[in-house]
Amino acid sequence: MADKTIRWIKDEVKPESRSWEEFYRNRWQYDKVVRSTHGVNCTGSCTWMIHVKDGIVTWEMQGLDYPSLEHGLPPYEPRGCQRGISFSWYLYSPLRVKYPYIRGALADLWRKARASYDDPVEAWKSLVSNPETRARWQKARGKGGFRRATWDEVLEIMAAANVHTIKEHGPDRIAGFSPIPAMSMISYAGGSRLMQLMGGISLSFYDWYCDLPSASPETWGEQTDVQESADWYNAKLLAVMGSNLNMTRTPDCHFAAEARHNGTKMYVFSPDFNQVAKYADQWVSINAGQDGAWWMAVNHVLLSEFHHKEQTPYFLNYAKRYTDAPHLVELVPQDGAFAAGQLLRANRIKRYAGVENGDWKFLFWDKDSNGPKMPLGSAGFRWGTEKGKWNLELKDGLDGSSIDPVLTFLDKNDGTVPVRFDDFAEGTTHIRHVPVKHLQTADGKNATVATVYDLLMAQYGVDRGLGGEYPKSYDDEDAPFTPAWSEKYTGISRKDLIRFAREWGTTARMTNGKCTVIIGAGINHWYHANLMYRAAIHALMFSGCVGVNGGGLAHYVGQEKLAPMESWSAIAFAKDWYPPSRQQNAPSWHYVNSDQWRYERSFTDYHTVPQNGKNGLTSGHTMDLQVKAVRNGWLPFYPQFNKNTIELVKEAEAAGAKTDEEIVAHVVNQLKERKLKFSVEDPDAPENWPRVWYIWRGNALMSSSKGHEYFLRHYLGTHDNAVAEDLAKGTVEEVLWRDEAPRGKLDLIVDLNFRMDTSALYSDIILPAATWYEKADLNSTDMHSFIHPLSAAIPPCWESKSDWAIFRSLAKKFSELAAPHFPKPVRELVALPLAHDTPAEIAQKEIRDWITGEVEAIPGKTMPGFALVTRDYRNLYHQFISFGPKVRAGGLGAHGTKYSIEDFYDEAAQSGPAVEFNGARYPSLKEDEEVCDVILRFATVTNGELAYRSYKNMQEKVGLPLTHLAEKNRGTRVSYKELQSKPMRLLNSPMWSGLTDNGRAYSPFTYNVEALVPWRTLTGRQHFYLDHPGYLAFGEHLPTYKPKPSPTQYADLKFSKEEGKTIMLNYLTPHGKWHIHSTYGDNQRMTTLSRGVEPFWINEKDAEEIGVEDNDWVEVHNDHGVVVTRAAVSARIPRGICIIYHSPERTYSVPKSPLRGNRRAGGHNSLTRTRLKPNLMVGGYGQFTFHFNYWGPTGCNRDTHVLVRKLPKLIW
Amino acid sequence: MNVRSQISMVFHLDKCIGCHTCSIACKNIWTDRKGAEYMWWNNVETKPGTGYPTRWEDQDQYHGGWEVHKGKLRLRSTGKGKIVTNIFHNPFMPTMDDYYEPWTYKYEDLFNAPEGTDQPTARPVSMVTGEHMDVEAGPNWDDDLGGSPVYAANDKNLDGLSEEQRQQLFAVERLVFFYFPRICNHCLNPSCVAACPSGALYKRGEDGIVLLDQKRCRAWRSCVAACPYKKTFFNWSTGKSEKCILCYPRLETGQAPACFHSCVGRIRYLGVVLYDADRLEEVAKLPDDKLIEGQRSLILDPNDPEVIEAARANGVHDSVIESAQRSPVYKFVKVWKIALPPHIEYRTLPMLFYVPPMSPVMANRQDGTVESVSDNFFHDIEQARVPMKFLANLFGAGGEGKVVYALKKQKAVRTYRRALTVGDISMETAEKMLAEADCTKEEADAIYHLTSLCTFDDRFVIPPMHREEAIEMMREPSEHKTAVGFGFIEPPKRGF
Amino acid sequence: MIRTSTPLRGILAACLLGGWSATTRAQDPAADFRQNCMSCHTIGGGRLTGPDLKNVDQRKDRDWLTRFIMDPRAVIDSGDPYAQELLKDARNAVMPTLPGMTRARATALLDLIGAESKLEKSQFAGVQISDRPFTPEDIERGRLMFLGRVPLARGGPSCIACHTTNGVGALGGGTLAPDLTTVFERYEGRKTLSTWLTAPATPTMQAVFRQAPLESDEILALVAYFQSTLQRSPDDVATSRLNFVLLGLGGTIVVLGLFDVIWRGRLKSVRRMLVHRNGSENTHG
Repeated sequence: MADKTIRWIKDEVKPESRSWEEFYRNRWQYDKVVRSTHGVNCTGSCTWMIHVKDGIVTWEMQGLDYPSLEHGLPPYEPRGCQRGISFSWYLYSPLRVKYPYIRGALADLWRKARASYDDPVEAWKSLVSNPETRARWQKARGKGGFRRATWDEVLEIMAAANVHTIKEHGPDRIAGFSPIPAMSMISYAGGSRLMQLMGGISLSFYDWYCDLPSASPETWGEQTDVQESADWYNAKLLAVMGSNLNMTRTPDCHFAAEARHNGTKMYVFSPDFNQVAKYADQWVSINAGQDGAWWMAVNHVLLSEFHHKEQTPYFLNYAKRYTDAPHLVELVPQDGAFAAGQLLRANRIKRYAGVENGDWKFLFWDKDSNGPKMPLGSAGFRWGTEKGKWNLELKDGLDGSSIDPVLTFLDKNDGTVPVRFDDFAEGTTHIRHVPVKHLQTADGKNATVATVYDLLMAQYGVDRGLGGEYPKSYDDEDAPFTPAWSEKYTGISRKDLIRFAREWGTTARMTNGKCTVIIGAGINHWYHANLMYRAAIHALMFSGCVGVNGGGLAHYVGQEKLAPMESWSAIAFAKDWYPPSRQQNAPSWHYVNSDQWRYERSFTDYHTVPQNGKNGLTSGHTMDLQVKAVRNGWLPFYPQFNKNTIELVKEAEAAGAKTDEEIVAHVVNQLKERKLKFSVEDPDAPENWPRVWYIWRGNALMSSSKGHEYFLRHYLGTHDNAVAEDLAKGTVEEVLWRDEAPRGKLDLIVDLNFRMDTSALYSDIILPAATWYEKADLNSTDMHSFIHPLSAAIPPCWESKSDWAIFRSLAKKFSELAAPHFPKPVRELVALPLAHDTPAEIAQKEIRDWITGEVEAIPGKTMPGFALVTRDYRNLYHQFISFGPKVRAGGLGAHGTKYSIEDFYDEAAQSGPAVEFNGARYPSLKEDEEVCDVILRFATVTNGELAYRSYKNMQEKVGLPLTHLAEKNRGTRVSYKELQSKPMRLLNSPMWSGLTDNGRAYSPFTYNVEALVPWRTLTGRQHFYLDHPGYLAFGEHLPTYKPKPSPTQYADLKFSKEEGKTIMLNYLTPHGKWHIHSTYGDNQRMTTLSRGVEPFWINEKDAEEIGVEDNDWVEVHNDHGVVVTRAAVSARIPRGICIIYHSPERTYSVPKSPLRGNRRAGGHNSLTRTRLKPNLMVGGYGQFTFHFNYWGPTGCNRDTHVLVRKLPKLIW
Repeated sequence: MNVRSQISMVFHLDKCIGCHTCSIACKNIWTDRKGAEYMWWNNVETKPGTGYPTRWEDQDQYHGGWEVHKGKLRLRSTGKGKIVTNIFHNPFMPTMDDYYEPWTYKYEDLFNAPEGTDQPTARPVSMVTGEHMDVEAGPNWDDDLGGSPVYAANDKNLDGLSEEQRQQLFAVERLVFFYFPRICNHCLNPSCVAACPSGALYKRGEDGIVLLDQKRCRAWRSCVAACPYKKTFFNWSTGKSEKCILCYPRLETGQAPACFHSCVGRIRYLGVVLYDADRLEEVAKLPDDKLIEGQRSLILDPNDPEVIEAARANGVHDSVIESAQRSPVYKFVKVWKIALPPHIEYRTLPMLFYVPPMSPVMANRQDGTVESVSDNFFHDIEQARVPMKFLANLFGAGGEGKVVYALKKQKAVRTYRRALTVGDISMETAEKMLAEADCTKEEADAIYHLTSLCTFDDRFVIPPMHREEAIEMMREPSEHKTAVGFGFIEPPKRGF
Repeated sequence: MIRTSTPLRGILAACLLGGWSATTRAQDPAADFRQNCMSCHTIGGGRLTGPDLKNVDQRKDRDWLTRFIMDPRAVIDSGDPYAQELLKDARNAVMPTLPGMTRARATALLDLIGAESKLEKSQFAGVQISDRPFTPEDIERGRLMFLGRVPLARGGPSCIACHTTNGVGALGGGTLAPDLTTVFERYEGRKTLSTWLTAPATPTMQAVFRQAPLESDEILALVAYFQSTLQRSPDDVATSRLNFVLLGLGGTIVVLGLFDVIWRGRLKSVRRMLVHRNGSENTHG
């Protein structure tokens, strides 16, 4: 046999010569395997098996035991990417924070002060009240000199700072920032619970990261609700834009790849040939930031061909039942023509004049009766006294008669009228005729009305022979929004666009809506992102793609789904003890407090608004609108007042106020008389500064600090590399201008971390946090429908502790130090904005300001609400570790749901681990695992009985059967230990809008479409039309296109000087391959597989222009700061743009910048400054009502420009 | 017929997302050690690109693999005549510069820097010398660098493209890249095994895994030069060469190799094939354009009674034969013919096969407006962004036919599934395309299932390894059971 | 060929247990000093890396000294001028904070230094190593000891088990520990290096050599050898070997020339040719 075989290849079978094979077998050995996951901000939520050998974590491998979904869907296994699998490196790396550290300058001063004062609070006071000592450690921030400290010492400093700050300035000067709770919800809750028990601030993240898609609340009244990735597989056309699936949805990407082999067509839109483009059937190399123009023209084609020429029954029926398209809009005369106004209110016509909440109920034109009817389901029904009428049945709200809504008056009308439509691209208006009906109103006058649908047809420019400036054909380049028009902006041929639109329409028609848009940061981080998103959403709504499996808007950036929301939020925001909490939208907070508002002038410099501005909103400085938003209750702002909120209550009592109402009345009077002011009106006054800042689970000072150098300058008081100067003087009116901007507002910055990142490097105290393999926690996501545990494969290494344990010890120390200073419970006043999912949704039909006397100052209606809270600081620790009584009495709920938990609560208090104090017994929240179990026990997605109750409650509100959705799972309960043994799929819950029975893939709004439960919007439908007076003023009531701010308008390069061969580029920071934000990016695995730095990606011709070759060092700068890194030169980046993937650290491999006096260069956020879009600040109106991480302006940064040159000299 | 069993692999490049999870799974377990830092038994390359080590495919420089000389196979790196002159210095050995100098950072400085006037930063330092260094190369340096004038432009597989075609690969309308993950191919005719003067390399009889004996290795490094895929590496600390072991400790316990297990793009398949060892040399000597067919002909039908009999006669276990009958690799390679060997012209007969990737269609740019050049509903084969010649150089020994066949079949399957699930393409059209692509509906469904709906057990059909029988040759398994794990672990030693 | 396995195990154990032994064995101040201070300081023997500590308590007060011993970096960071001066004298080498240092331990050490300062000749006055010039014999003996060909008197492992230097041979020495080719220069010459070898200060060396310290003549020979490795260059080749070397050299040139012809197609750095602009044309020629 051997003679014919190749002689040199011997198949080795001899056992002796193979005994060495033990060598590698010995390596593949371990003592234990534990299930955990990564609590990182990536939404992956992958289940991992952590291998432990010799008590050391050696490596991790993906878990494969996901329950499978329905037949015909690929399985989820395996999940987990290159970053996750490198995590074990951190545990024992030289980057690990092993012990508590204090900044040396502070440590020395503190130890000295402690020697002189017995009371640590007094010691702290002595340090912060002396400007010299305070500045001593502020100036040292970020410059080395750390000292190892003991836990006792750091806990004492932090507790003393908290007590002193509350006493001196008020509790709302203590802030906490931690992002995206879903990824490790117990760890998030530890800090936020402590903040809220003290009365401190929880800062939002989703909007600050600019990941909140404002168009989602605008359209659906929903923060974000998206399909799990398995549902992409159901789609038959995938349009992927601004979302690099390979990079950011690594474990989910295969569903897209696999769908293609099942006949799905895939388009990828991106300016650069990015990683996901490789899969596309067609890569649409669209110009950066012009996706809105693309979708506007797609909608033009869809409406022309699938709605007008061919009236696709599925599309039209969908529009009638599930969208606001049939609503009647009042047209108001304007400059000889008409303009679209607000929706016509039901109470404007005689038949409905007296109905409850008549301002918040609306009208359809009924085909059979040929007259207006008032459909069920609007906000007026939701917040009315009569239950069971908040649903999407096509019935009249008064007599229950059926409605057949008319979408268009094209065939039967009272004539047409000329209506003015804004063209922001050209800065003109076009007059187009629209068919109308004339209605007699209750006051005997006439109203001219059109349907939303007809206005959309006119806005999108579909010529139906009505006259006016309609486009003549697809090739009409000057008429928005034709395919030819879009070519000018997108750079893509009209032919390709028309073909896309036809394929889209055909696919949706033949599959009843299986077209999906996967969309993300590449679109959402632009200033006008809400408009781009809305245009894409309209294509989905016109084609009946929302609320069906395989269809819809899959928004993936920063979105996370904290599945067991009800019980978690009660714990995280301490609602079990003190229901009102201080939840602050971070974009406003940072814009104001880090003084970034000082560096710009009017927003109209870069934001195109209608020429004939209405009601004074559309001009001036963003900061003035910010003040107005707080005053009118649209947005929160903490610190609240220029007075300590504890002192304020004492003052009111001293002035004779006895009841809560009288105290509130006193405060309102003080505000009206301008004796008391909102802090936001004078943010640079010392009494209005935030003082103490806790950062955990995030990198608040680098990867999320848009305007990083301003953070260093104004918050930290240390060195910075910004060259921008004040500009706002003279353009601001509502805010007090101070010539000297304060440097170093913060007394103390604390960072909990397992690695030395930039935030840690710049903080005063670093606390060693347990890693994700060293603690118990929970993790959920919307990318899939499972819930995962984090587990301690090993105990916390060195002196680290879990975040929950750290905040628990701080709570204990705080209670101890507070006792002498607050011997009795104290009362304070919390200001609260008008809130979503409350009756405040029907508070302000018009914009009227109490400060000018236009309207009465009514708390909770025309201004913020005020609540009195009695805080017991001595018992704060006991409260921290026990699940408080308020939830037992009030039940739980979220997103407008509600259910009672008394029996489960009593059972937990009796049988489970419990805490007793002051004679009462509570379920224990002491240990991390106990918190996990309380969350699982009381949430609807993990307790079938509670899901049933929640549906039952909702059923009463809606008036249609819903409990069947929970019937089957009533007996299901889940514990932490069970989750450790196997991933579990979430149960149906009315808090979420998708349905997951029988392995069905979660797709949002299927609940609304199938069970006819309204969306939580003004009309209860999906909104094409946004009739908020602020939107009308800004011209964004209809979908539209607004041009990108130009570099000169945007003022990033006003003070920057060119030295040497320099090129100006649009600076993009998409999410990268080797990190999740900044995590993993500094680990040796990832730096090796990348280039050891986060490079600067530049087109080869642009690079050639400035003499830069691949891997050369470059200096990238603008007014805000400077980055020095190496160039990656490739033609895959189009000319004119550049990329630094989000987000590098300043902590490794960053040289100094010759342009900035040879100071250490910064990170990607050194080149950004945030600007807020003013119309996103409005509130108190339907879906335009504040909720944490749901509504408010976002921290956009993609319109930024930079100058680049070759680094003349490398200096370390 | 001399029937043997070989564990072999398929990577579906159309599904590869280029994430490198595989690389790190491997590194964590096997090569995270001193002397092994630079080893990437599994790596992922961007194509067009120069790969790792730089331009490894350029055998005019590296001299790896085999050539046919006067009707005989001979190693390009060495030979009888050269063995003496080359034994102390192999002239075709990649240097550290062709790999990279492994580095880390002085992270400690962030904790220890005394208070100064500026912010400290952790500078890069060499893991070899401990000194500060300039990072100029890495194992994945040209990642995603399609359109790079340095890296993409120097891909060896661009040979034979016209100057115009080359230029176009750097224009946005034509630009492209895809991913090419690589491990040891566990070849049927491995040049590394043939080159080793110490006889330290061998193919395991039961499964064909190529291993490098850590006791017998004498640091000649001939395997490094001889392997045309550059998948053996010299450990500068232990003085032994090392290579991918296909995670045999995992396979022996019924688990997929770590890089397969962790493949989150779900692109990897593994299974046993039976082959005829008697015909190896004959096939390895075939002309380039006959090599792919030749290699396919070596792979035997595991359901053929004659083959089964011969396998049994050779001691192949029944359970292994059954495993071969369920092998996904057999289907992709032999039945459907859509998986192809990489650079078979190196004549090592690699047993890792690739399904070539589809790519987006090209566009034209006129007056700043971009327009797609094709009206095909799905990706276009003739007008795809990846030039056919490029794929042919990589997977077809220069010939385009086999690659076109594989791509056409993939496209026909997609079209058929579209007709079935949407209907905007008629079933008639789909059937016509299937026929043209040499595919039936049944085959299309099978391809679809294994491509899209595959579970872990579909992708990895791991044969039983019968360790009890292997151990029995040394000592009683019952004795082994009681004694396994006891003893001292001896690290490998430098020298003789 | 090289006996490594036993000492290697010892070294491994030392690495694992080093931290433990350093903190727990510090009860006896003399032992503490020997173990932790002596490698950088003498008492009355002159400056090494750190200053001579004789009568140190007359130069600074007890409180200052205690603070410095307990956290040297903190004192330096505080801007203390005396500490800055010390830092400069030590060429910016910061004295390490000893693990497990306590006030009591520092006091004990200072007491010890005080007491030893009063003695005419402290036991810590530095090692008495002959200052006679090194002979070629010393160097050769040192080399043999380094290589393990001559065993160490008290049974310590040979240097090559962990270290290498130039000239050890083609196979090289151990790579567990630093290359010692330039150790003579790094440790500032004969005196400092000798002292260091008397009481090695790293946990690994401590664990191995505490039980089996080097004898003073062994130290002399090793230091001689390290001086020679530093100076090794073509000029220093021993005359007795000159002819042999020249012959070898000539032969090598011939062989190299021959090989250059045989290897004319050999691999030259592929990567470097690419990344420099004009290289790209050359590579696909």
